[in-house]
Amino acid sequence: MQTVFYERRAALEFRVLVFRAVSAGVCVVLLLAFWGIQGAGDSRYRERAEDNSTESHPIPAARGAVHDRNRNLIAGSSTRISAQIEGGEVTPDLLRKVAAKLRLGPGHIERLLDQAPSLAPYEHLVVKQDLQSSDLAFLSANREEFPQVKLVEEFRRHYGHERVAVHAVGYVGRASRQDLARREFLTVDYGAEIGKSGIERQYNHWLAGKAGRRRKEVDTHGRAVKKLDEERPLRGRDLGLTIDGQLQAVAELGLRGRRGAAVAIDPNTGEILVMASAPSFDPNGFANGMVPEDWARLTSDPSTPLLNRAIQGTWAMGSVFKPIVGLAGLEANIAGPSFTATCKGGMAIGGRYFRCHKRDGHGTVDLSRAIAASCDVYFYTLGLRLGIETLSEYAEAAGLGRKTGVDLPGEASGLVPSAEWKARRSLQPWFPGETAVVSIGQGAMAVTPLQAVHAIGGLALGGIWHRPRLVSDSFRRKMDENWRAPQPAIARIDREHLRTLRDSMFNVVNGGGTGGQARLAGVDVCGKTGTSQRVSNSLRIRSGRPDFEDDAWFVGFAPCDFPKIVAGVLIENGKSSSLAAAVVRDILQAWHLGRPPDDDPKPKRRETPTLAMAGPGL
Amino acid sequence: MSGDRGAKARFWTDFDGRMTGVMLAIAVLGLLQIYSATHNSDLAAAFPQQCTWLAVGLVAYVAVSNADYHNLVALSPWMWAVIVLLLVYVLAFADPINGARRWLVLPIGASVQVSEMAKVVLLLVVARYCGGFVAGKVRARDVVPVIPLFFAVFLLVILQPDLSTALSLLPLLAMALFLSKIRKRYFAIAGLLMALLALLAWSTLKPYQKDRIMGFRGPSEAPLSSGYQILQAKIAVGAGGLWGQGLGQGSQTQLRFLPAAHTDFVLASFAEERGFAGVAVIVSLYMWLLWRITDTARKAREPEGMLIAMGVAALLLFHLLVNGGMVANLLPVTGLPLPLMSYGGSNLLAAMAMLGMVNSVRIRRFVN
Repeated sequence: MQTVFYERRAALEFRVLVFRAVSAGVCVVLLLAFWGIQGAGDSRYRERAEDNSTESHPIPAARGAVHDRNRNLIAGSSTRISAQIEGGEVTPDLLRKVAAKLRLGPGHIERLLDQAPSLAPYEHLVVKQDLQSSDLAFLSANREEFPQVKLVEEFRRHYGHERVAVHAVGYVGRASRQDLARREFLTVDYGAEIGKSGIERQYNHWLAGKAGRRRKEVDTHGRAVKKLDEERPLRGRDLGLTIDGQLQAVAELGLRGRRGAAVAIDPNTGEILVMASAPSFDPNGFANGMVPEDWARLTSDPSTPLLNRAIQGTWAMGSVFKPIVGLAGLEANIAGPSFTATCKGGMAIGGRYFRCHKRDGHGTVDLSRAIAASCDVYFYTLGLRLGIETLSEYAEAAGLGRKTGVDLPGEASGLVPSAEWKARRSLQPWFPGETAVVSIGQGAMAVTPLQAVHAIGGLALGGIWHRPRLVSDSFRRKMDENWRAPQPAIARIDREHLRTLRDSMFNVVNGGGTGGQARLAGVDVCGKTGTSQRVSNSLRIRSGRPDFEDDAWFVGFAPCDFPKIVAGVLIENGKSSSLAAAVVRDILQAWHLGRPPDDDPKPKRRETPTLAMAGPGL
Repeated sequence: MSGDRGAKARFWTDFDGRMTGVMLAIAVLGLLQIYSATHNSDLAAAFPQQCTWLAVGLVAYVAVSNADYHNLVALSPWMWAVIVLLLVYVLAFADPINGARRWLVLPIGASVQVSEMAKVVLLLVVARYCGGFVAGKVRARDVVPVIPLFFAVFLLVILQPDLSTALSLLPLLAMALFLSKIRKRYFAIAGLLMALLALLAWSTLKPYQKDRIMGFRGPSEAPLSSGYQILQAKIAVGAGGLWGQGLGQGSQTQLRFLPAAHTDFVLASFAEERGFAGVAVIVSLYMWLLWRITDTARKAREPEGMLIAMGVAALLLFHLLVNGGMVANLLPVTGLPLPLMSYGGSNLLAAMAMLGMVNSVRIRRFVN
């Protein structure tokens, strides 16, 4: 029993050993290759495997409600379901098929097709916002056919039928790429609903809450295999505004059909009771995903309905500025009882003739009479005595020329002209005639209605200007215990001077002055009228164009000796300030009727004002 | 030389129990992996089918071990004729599956891949014609008939088309050349021929095949194209780490991100769930198997037996290298299965039949 002998046996056995060596080499190389991938403890692979198999969906948080100061609902939330497709999976063919099933109009489909190519893969195309139950039934029955269509439960913002204070409250919309670039929206998901303007934007961090997340394990076809974990959403916090819905409604009614703004503040706290702007718009349109045509219509409307005129538009302050000039005169010890001017319907300054609004003149007037009758000649004279520097100093003390700091985005700062300001933008020197123009609140001087109300309110209070706010201090402290209320700006005003100014403004309304329209039974109303020119008087008359007509102002406060509310109205091209005064009157009347009967003692005129402060001027 | 009493008597004493054990260990680990990769999918039938094939394979293994390999070698020209007829038949009449005509549907319902059977036949053909040459008893020209016999099958497989299986036949020829006493310049000529063949093959490649070969270096660049498989395999292997995710726990396998997790990429699936430790065990088992086969080759009674054993070893090593290298991201994606592990009846049956022949060679090493 032995193997067959052949001559190459030894050589062959050697070659078998060579083959063994090669085999061993192959095995070692394979093991090294596997070690390279598996042995290094590289967690990236496991993460990638996890990425493959998990899908994370945000669970939207209910947006907090917005109430007015009487806990009436201004903005609330309800749920809805929308159909969305991920950017990477959108094809025109799929879109057409789905759109046909969801019965979308041809315009809607066109728009979706336009949008689709510019989507990033992580973005979602919202095919239909508010799915009806028939849509839902269809989509859930055909999940296999349209696996790309995702049903997303969302909250829908809705604003009440009254649509109170839409400019102040603002509106919500889906976060765009530009929005995400802003610091304030750092933690927001793409496509999430965020506040785009007004309170909705200013307090988005409170209202929005925190979206939750649902993680699912999915297989290679994207089918959910099991639920992994879930982070519950955190509901947004409700926000109470200082707006008084009833006063707001009165103001909005008064502005209906006009372009203008109304603002009312409690000067003792800075709380804003009314902020209205006309014309208005429907904020529900934004929450529902606005059709581009509607958006174009809103933005191209010459009457700018999206503009919050109360804080974003500026106008010449007109004669409403005169009490501030008067304060400057009093504090500079110029405009005492002996300082008078004789008005013959105008006066010459630097070779030019400056008219008073009353052609046949006011005769000889002192400060009190000049404010009540709004005599321009008196204020030309006083303004020239004071000089532009003093004028702008007092204007700025009253908060003009800079943002009031109200808790709203996009506030305008307005402008208080000065010699220095002119030097910055022109080679020409400051002319005395310009001082005269500023003295009656015309020229380059520009204020927002909120600034005008803020300025007069603080003045009426005796030189305390609280920062205007839509969320009260006490409410803010509730939301954020670290909140420190900003200190009011304070100017020391001689109490006699204050009394003089209040009396003159009392006379504007009650003493045969220009603001008789604002007079009310049962409560003393003080105020100041104003008309501000858009163009020169001669051009206005020559052209006859309605948009060249003067803008009408009235700012009033009540009660005169203990101001609890200051309200101002601006009406663009309103011609006569009595139009504005009537709206202020309605607001003050609503305020007066709405407050408890024993809110304060029946005003006794000529009592020493308690809030007035003694001492020299500024 | 035919199966005499002596062989019968020696059957159980010389039966290679260790090789059989290693073979079964690999097959069982493969079976478990096939179960894990398919049990919760629409491919769940794969596991019982593979179990059946393993049983059939075992019967074939014992039967072939029992048969005298000399008889098989002697019959090989006839087997060749049958195989060529079958290859022509499938080319002409079989319904294409995934664009290729590879499958012969048997009346009992099972279907076999004829090219796998051809592999076994060519092993015997090469042993028959090259045995004397390897022993140095005959001249080179006596070996010439093997060339048309081999390449007829080779071409018929390419035409199916199944390039990778055709290429996987070449190690048989290479092994015969490696063992034979030919001058070094013939090696050079053979190498040149191989290179020409490779060029020819490249020019006939389909775009998807070229993609596969070019794609394996940069899989991450195109996650949804030809690099997808490679990328997912790499993620699966890497996610396995040292100790694996556990059988039935690998997300790449279970959620079917890993394509062909029970066939060509069964090793990736295995690596995900069993980790590097499992891979080391598997590679060691293959090494052990190769050791036993080459041991038989050394002890074979005459060159035919040695050629059979070494041919099987060459085929096994080639498949291990190409499939393992693909899973480990060393080599391009080819459709070659991992012998004994990948799902597929024909492949398992062919592998076990061939190992049966090796066993037969071992059992009959001393017999006169």
